[in-house]
Amino acid sequence: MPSLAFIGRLLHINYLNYMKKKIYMLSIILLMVSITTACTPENDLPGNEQPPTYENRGEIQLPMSIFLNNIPAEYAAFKNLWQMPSHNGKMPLHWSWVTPTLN
Amino acid sequence: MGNPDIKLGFRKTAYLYPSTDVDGNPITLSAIAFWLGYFDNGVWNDLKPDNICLMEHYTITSDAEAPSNTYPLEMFITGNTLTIMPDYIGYGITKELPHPYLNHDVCAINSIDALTAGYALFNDRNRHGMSDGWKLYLAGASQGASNAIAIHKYLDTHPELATKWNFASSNCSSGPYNPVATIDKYLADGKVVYPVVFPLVMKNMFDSYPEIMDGFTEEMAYSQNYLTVKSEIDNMLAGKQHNTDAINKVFMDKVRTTVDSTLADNEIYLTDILSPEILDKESPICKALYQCLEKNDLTKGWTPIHPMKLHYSSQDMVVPQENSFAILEAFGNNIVTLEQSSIPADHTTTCSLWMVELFSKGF
Repeated sequence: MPSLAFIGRLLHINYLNYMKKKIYMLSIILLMVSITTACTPENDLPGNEQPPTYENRGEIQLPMSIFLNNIPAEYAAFKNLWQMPSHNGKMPLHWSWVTPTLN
Repeated sequence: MGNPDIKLGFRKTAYLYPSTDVDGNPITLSAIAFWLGYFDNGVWNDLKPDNICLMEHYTITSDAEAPSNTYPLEMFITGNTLTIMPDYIGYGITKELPHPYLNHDVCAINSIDALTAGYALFNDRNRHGMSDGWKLYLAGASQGASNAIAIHKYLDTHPELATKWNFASSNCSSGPYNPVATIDKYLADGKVVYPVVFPLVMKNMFDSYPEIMDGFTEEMAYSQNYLTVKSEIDNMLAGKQHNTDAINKVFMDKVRTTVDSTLADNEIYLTDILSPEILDKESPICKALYQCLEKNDLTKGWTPIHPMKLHYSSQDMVVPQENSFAILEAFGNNIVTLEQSSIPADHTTTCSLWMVELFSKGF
């Protein structure tokens, strides 16, 4: 039967081992936290410092012709401006200062 | 003419984003983001925007005119850009709230937040991204112009933001940059053509600056004439069902009682709308109102870094040209370029002409 002293030593060793493991795990956690912190970009968001979150409330894709067809006759010149062919002849509409090219 | 199978079009998305209300509390607001693309045999393809435009909308009083509820005119003038148009507080998702008219600081923060969220949305939706070397341009007409300059102020007083967003310049038309100069001109003329501005301004000043307006009531600012229709107009503004033309018509039909040969059909004397007390610049209530207005004076308290181009008309009776002159006088012609409207025209026509200018010449 082990003596009380032996049990005491055993517990002591186990306690030390237990503490070593704890310290080791704590070090790992601290290391991970510091790496995570170092790798996280600064919160340099503008305005209200809000994260760039958004909720999409609906999307639509519409041809410009829907609007152009509704332009009143008295604004025909405006309509014609929109309908000029582009420099590359591919786009049916363009602006004098914007010549979008196809992707 | 071109390839008939390819049709240019818009991709427009309405979205919600987190921001801050007039009391500094968190609030969810709405906005739209749109960019160009084309249908190739019916299949949508995104284009790669050249720049970003943060476009501030003009004064509205009906929710149906809010960007997220319609196709605002400004959609058609910004060319190949990613354009962000925020609904102001009081419109869109927050239509139940009062609109903080001329509260520039709040609007600037809301708009920058809309830009941040809109840009994130764009990056999630358009796989092409932005063109190399893209810049941020601010734009707007009327109330949108002063809001754009408020954002300009915000960016130039937060240089790290201006750099982050590649801020280039502002291009605006007919904005009340200096509310004091605007009201001064109204008082000097003794008449106005856009009377809805008074309940809009009064409501916001009482809501936004209770510490300054403490001891006064809105009723003290108005004439007996106006008080007979005040609840009707308050309900129209709160209901967000009527546009500014409809509200101005109530003024002309029910508040305008003094008529003479010098008064045009679309004009109304201030004495028909406002109380003698507030028309006296030495009265306590008038001084308090001016103190509120000065808090929204965009010609003071900052030094712009980036250029601004301001379009105006000498015949604009809604937002007098003195506003643009005040900006030039404050910041000088190294920063400010004034551009007089090609036709001396009223406020609405001047703003429309600016849109044509922006459409045809770019930023």
